[in-house]
Amino acid sequence: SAGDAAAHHTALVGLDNALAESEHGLGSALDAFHASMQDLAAQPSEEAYRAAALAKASELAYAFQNTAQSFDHARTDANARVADEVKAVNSRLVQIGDLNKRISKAEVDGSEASDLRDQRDTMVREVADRVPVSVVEGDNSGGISLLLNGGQALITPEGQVNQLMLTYASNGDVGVTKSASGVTVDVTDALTSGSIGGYLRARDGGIADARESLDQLAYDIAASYNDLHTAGIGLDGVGGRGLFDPIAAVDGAANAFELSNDVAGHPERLATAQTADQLPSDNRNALAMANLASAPIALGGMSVVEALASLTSSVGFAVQSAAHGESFANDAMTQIQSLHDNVSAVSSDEEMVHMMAYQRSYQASLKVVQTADEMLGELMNLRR
Amino acid sequence: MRVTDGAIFDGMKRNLGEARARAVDSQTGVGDGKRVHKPSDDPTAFAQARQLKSREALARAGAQEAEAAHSMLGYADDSLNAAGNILADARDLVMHAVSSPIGLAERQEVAIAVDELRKQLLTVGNAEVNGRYIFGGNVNGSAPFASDGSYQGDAETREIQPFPGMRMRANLPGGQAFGADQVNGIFTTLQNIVTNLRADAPAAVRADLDNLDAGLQRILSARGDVGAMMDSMEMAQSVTDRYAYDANAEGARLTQVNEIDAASDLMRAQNAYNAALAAAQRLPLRGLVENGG
Repeated sequence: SAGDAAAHHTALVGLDNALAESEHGLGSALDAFHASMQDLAAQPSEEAYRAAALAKASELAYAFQNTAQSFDHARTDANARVADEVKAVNSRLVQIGDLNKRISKAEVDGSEASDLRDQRDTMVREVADRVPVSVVEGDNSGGISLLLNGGQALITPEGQVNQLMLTYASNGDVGVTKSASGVTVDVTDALTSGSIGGYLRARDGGIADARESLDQLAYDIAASYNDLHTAGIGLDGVGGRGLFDPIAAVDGAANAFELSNDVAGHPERLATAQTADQLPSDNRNALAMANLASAPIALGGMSVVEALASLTSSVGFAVQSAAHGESFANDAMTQIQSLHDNVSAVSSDEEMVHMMAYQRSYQASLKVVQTADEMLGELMNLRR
Repeated sequence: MRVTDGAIFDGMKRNLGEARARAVDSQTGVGDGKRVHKPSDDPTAFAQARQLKSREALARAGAQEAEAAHSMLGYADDSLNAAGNILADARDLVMHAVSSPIGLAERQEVAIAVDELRKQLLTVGNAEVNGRYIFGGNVNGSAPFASDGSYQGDAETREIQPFPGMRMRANLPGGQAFGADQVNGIFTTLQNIVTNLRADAPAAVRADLDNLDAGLQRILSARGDVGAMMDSMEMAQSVTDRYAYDANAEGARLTQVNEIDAASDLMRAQNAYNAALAAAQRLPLRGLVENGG
């Protein structure tokens, strides 16, 4: 549906913006870090190059955290929008339930309920824009049932309303449930279309996938550089230090990506050498770390550069596909609306023609009455 | 087909919105010269441009390193040139001392002169640039040559990597250049010559001439090695500069607009928007509501 496509696109746009090329973006930070490691390998004993390498490593950590937060904002935003849409659905369900009762009462009394039906149709369309529902006409009571995808009744013809409720997982993800007759059912998986479905699909699909790839990339970079740095020796002759804080698990790795306190503020501790007897000019460990820029250490066999490009293209294709989907759905909606209007909407010219015809008929009827009155008058005058 | 009032206004709204969006997009492209700002603008081009940007950054860093290494090797070459001149002068003096009928006093003066040249050669061997000894190998904590000419550095060669997979030697250990790790190294040879001149032993001095010649040859050979390394650095710098340039050009081709096309698109989009505005002003058409009845 148009609502589903628009919501899906809106939810993914945040990822697109987070990965856009910028001076302080993840790509630029990675490039600067790799270049600084290469410079360090050429000048391992120079204080300036050591300090620069630490600074670029710190900026890379900041870029990872910043990007991860942007991805988290996209997920949080999707959850918030689901919550808002559920409230909007519930508000309309209450109104539909009320309209059901009023329509039934009016039609039982023999009154015309067209306006009420139109209002109810508008409310149903607004609900359908948010959740996948089907409408079932009741018996002759004039009421309708509104069934959620999977058969769960949101509204009965008698006007009973079973509102949707929100649940919150430990990670903040929103779920949707429905209660009826004391039984609570999780209907999150049933929300496969509508704007709520679009937000959920983005949250659990595109956003989750992008976040997983980002975390894996951060984890792989930290682990690979730490392995080499721990094996190397700093200018102080001490080894066994990591370059980044060790990261225990892939999940959340991008947030946890941080320059190690063991080296932060201590350029002399950067492990550029492999053995202490050749300090300070020994650059063999620095060369090995510089080589990681093109080594297949990320995402199961890609270089870091290739892995980041893969992440950006995946996000790009997802957002582009969502945009196309939204455009297509809007075009389809426009066409359907046009067909609907073709049958039921008003053409002012058409109504003017009808009005002119009715006016003429009325004028003709008036003339008949006038003529009959004149004839009777003449008849009366004859008898006198 | 029935054309309803609602359909007319909906169509007007949609056409105006689309024309305006196209005009704004064209304006943005002309304004910053880019057609790809975010991954979704063109995912393939964005990803390729990202990789090219990374390679360009590495290539530029590599070019700078090759340039710095070339500069350092240039100092080494200058130093070896000076060392060669010193040894040539020393040889001339020694030849004069052993082939001319000179007395003890004159030989003593030659000994002093050769000793002075030996000290100059020590200064050349201990030359440093920006706090780094040129001929110390990987040792930088102390001068490569002690006052007696013994070598304190190591034989390690230092490598740089201007480009992934392109490892290049960037130094010449002093032991290789001056032969200081050998019994007949140049400093030992000069010291022997000085001692023998002071002892008025021209035959012994004559015997050291071969070692002096060998030392001079070693210096010339070392200059050849340094020259070859400098050529390699120049080649590396040229290759990496070219690679960086090409990567930048290809990245620009992928992500930037063609100015002429962009200007043409902007004009077209603006005209379309103006036409949509003009059409909207003429709608709604005058119908029977205004004219009839």
